[in-house]
Amino acid sequence: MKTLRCLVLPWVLFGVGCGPVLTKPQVTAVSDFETATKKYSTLPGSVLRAYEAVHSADTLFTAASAEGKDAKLSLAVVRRSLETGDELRRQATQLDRAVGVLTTYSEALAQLVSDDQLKALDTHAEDLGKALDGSIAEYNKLPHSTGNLDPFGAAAAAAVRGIGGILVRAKQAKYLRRFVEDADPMVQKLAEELAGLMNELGGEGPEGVCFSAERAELEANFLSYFSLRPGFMNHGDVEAFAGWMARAGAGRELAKSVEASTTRLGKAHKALVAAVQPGNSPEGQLAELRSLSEQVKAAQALQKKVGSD
Amino acid sequence: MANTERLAALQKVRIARNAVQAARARTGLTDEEQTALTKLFFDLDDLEDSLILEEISEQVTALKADAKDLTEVAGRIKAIDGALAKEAALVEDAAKAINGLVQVVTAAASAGLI
Repeated sequence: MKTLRCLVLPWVLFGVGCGPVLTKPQVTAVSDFETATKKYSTLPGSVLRAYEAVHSADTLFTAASAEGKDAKLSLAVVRRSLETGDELRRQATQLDRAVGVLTTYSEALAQLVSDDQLKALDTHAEDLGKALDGSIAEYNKLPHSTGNLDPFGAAAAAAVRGIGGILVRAKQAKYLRRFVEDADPMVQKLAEELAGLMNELGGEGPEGVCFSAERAELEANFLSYFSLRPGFMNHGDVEAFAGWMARAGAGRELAKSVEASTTRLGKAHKALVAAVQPGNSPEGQLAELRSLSEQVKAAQALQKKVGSD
Repeated sequence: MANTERLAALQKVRIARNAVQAARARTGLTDEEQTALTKLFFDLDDLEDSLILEEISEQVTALKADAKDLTEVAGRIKAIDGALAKEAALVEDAAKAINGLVQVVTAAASAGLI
């Protein structure tokens, strides 16, 4: 144990001097951001797909307003509706890919701060300790050796694990800070533009690409059906109009909800940037200390493990 | 076409489309007039579609461009993650080197060289 202290403590202090280490609240903040972006990533595309469905239905009602003598004109509208639908769905797929980059980015951050490096370090340090003990045992067997060199592989492994762990955590903290700061303007711009698109789709009035304009056209088409074909409209047609009008309303609500989520996503990234700054608050310092303590504990655990092997 | 100009055009197209739709419902139109109005109505609907597609396409293209920059950052993060893994692997290299040394020493001792 004394050997361990002698080996680890100066390096712990040196490690602290290298810079603040990654803390658990920071890892949690990254994990929370990753979970949020994963949940968010399919939302904007789904709004565009909902818009496409309502718009296509509206166009088909428009095509259905032609009289029999204008069947060819109506068929051209049906064909165009199919093409427009294809293009809007293609745009929705591209939107999915663009938004998916947020997930790729957050997953990369989560991997950067993961314990994988430390687990690898555990294994490597254990191998190192065993190799040292092996070499000492071989040395003690040599004819001219005194044969009383104590194995110190466990202590050395613990020192390597402790020092290495602290340095890895310090580097993870440094890179995490650098990357979230670099990415923040991009994330904010992406969030702002996504919110703008959702705002337009969820907006009102005839000047935008929005559900409310589609609903207004559905209502105009509904009235047009009665005026162009005096008499009764069958129940199925009325039900179809009602269904699509309801979907236009639901689409608008979805767009507004996704707009709010997008704004929150931008704010969440700002909060992440703040969370990864070296903590000046007592909580932040305590958290850093806890992280250091965990590295030392890991070193001690490894020392016991190597020692008992 | 700038976004605001396109949206202004979209508004005008919709106003015209509504007016033509109302005109189609008027009584006493000849077949030719009815067909001409239907064609005009459908043409305006086509124009509306084009403006909608342009609007969506432009916004998605801008988003893709922004996403590209973020992809580059994600790539840099992955590269650094790989570099950190290599640093951890240096310890493994040390362990291998010690093992190798032990084998050399053992062989030398067996041969009575040391």
